[in-house]
Amino acid sequence: MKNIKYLIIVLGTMILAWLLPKSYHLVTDKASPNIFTYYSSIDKAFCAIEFDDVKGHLIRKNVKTNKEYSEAEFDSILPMFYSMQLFSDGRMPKSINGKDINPRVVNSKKFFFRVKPADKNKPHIPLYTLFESMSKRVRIEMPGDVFRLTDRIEFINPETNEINEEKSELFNKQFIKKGFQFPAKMAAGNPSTRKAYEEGYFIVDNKDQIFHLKMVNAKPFLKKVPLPDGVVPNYLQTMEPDDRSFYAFVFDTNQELHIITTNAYSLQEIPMPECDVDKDQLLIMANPLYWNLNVVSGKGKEVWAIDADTKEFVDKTSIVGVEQGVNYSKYFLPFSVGFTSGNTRYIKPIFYFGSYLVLLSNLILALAFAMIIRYRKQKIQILPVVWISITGIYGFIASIIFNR
Amino acid sequence: MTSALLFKEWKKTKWFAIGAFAVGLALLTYIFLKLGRSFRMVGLEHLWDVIVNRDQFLFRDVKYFPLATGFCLALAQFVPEMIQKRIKLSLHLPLSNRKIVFSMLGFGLLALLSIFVLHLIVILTFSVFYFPMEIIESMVYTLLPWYVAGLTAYAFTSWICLEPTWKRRIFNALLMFASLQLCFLSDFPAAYSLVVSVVLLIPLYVLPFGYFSVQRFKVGIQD
Amino acid sequence: MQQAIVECKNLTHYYGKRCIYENLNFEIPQGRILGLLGKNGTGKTTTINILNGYLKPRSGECLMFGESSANLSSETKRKVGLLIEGHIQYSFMNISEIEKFYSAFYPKWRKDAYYELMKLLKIDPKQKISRMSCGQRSQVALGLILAQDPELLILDDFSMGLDPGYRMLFVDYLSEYAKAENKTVFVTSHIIQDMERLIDDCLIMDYGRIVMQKPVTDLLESFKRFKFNCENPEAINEISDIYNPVTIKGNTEVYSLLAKEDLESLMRKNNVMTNEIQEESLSLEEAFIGLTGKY
Repeated sequence: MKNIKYLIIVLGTMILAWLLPKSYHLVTDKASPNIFTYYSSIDKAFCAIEFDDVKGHLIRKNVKTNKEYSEAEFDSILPMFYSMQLFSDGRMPKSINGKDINPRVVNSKKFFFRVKPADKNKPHIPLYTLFESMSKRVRIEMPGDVFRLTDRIEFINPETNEINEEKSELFNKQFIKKGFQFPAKMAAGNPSTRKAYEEGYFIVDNKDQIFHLKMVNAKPFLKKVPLPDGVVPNYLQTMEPDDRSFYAFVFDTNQELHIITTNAYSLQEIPMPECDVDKDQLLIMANPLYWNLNVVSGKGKEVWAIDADTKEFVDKTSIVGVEQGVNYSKYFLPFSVGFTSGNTRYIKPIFYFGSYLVLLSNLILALAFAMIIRYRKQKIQILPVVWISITGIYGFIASIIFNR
Repeated sequence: MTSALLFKEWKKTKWFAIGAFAVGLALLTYIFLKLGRSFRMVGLEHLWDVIVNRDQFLFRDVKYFPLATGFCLALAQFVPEMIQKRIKLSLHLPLSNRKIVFSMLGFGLLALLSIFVLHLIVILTFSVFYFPMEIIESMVYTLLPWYVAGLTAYAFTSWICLEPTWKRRIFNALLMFASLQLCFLSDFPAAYSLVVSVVLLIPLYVLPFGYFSVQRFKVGIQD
Repeated sequence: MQQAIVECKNLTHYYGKRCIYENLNFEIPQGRILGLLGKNGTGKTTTINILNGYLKPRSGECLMFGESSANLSSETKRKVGLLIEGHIQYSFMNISEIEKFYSAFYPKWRKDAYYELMKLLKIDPKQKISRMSCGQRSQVALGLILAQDPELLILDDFSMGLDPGYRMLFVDYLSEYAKAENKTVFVTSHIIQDMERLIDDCLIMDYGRIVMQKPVTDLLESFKRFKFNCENPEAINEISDIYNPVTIKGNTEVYSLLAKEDLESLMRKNNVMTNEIQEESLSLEEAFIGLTGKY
């Protein structure tokens, strides 16, 4: 009987430790401003659009000189970002920094690439679609099967839910021949028919080697990517860029970023701000002249510009996250429990611990509880008092409600 | 004696249990017909693609069925006990109170579990035919929290019914709503795969709560 | 004096701050039919609930076959037959199902006793209890208790909602059974006429206390109403051993356990001026009102 009561109090406490902080943040949280920042190939400095609280409207300015621009001026300061507008107005210069600029060049070199922690940390069904990469057709077509990677590669026909032994064997032979170590750790590809061409999958095997898998004229194509010493892949994402200059991004275990280039699969390091793919967001905005690398983390936003050809560091700027005001919660919320997070699609309990300051309010609550118990003329119970000293306001509320 | 007790529970819940099972089957038939239509219209390859690469879930329609079933079964079983305090009769039966209460709760849980297991068997039998193990595994991880929610709703609702005072019933209900949220935190397929074994324990954790309220009834706590 | 089957010692109970009673003591002797009489709100239901173990008194205890009523063993529960206020039974069963259900719990189950009573009802064995009249339900509840063959029967307000015919049937059946089998019965009812036909002893409660516990025959033999004309009725209030004196237009009524001669001398001693005192015998109902007052 008593034990059941404590089960109820513990559950009540946990639920409160989850919902109370959640509602507190619901009321007090402010959005951290995600200011648009882009490296200007004209000003050779970062330019930004931000909301001016004093003037009450958006302002466009050079971050370094603080010079403000009108909307039309701003287009020509960031010609690569507003290329469509400039081409259509006929205002695009013929060349910038000695580089010829025309719509073809801009379109083939301009791309956006975004990686969020939740892209990596999500439940995933390990089945993959491998398209024909030398299709005679203009459009990419569904191949009629999917593959899985267990202790071998297997192709399954969805219409019959049966394994295509012949094709599986054909591919498997290649895997064995090239020294692929099953089981695979991850496979990165882009299983979409809405793309210009197909470069198949980059697969990390059990020994952290990367292999490139394609289907060429219905035959397997498997190449091992020569990795420099010390590069252990952590996360891969493929990209099929219009200029066909590289295949994929590789985040290694040292939190460094590389691209697998189309030049004999050699790896090229991409300098970037500190970025943990399990916690931080990376956005790359590339153009023929510069790549803008934005990393949004708990600390704020860090932006680097690198040279598009040499991938050398050019410039950086940062926007510090706004202070959330005084966080009173640390005085009375001893800890909090969460189950969801922006960094993962998985549900799992996460505990956040508050400061030691809260111990004082915990003790006050434990004392208050003992007084209430005395007032209600019940017997003093040690366990709830200890529980409140540990769990503070949550245990206090749960005990007051469910104690009798 | 226990079997007589179970007979009594069966008498109360028989029509409801059969009805819930039938409604469940009807729901599944509807889903299967809908799926059969998409098999014909777009083909299985496209369907697999949508499931694997676009995180679609085919059995979304069953989401609240277990919850509703668990909730109603508890009402069917315990409202007749609480009307006119009939629970006094049950507690006067020559068995220990603990045994009486837990037999009743155990019956409900097992009845519910049987409905759910049969339901899942139908789903899986259908799915094994059309989908590979990888998709089925993901499906099971997606479905389980919903079925656990049904069992949890049963445990909480019986606790609320057995509770003698209205004030406490309200608090119990609040705790139920908050706790049930735990089973519906995400619609993403297989989001619960890391914690599914812990989630399965929730109904067992909550089930004894009803006995606590019976003890409160026994000492005469009233509004 | 027979051995006591139920002993209630120093029962004290409050609802919030409202005192129901303090240090209440009584016993239920073996083989007697004891009726608990009291006006509404005097703690009848409280007492029944404590007795059945559905209420924990603030202090004191109630022993049933030597066990605390709050926590009876299965063996003791088997020896106690319970009729809940309103003849509540599992109304989702029919009369044959409910018989089968209860028979599993009681090794000495007497199926015939149940069906004998059911025969009088002339209803289909498949009929659900929820579709029966209140009177029919009371017979089902009674039949089940009789079949259970308990040593102690506790009947809470058995006459509630019953037609006179069913009430009489219930009383006759029960008293005959209890006498023949030497059962102990504890009953409450708000209809005292029914009790008079049934009970051996009465336990009369008033707010916060027990006024009297006595065999009914003793009570009716000794407790009388006296009528007289009186010039100074205020003086009567000074006399103890007189219950509920009422004077309307010089006609005074008092109740007392005293013999007429003793009352007369008591009156004289207290200087109460009366004419000839008339003595009247009472029914149980009148005696109850005499003891507890009309209000």
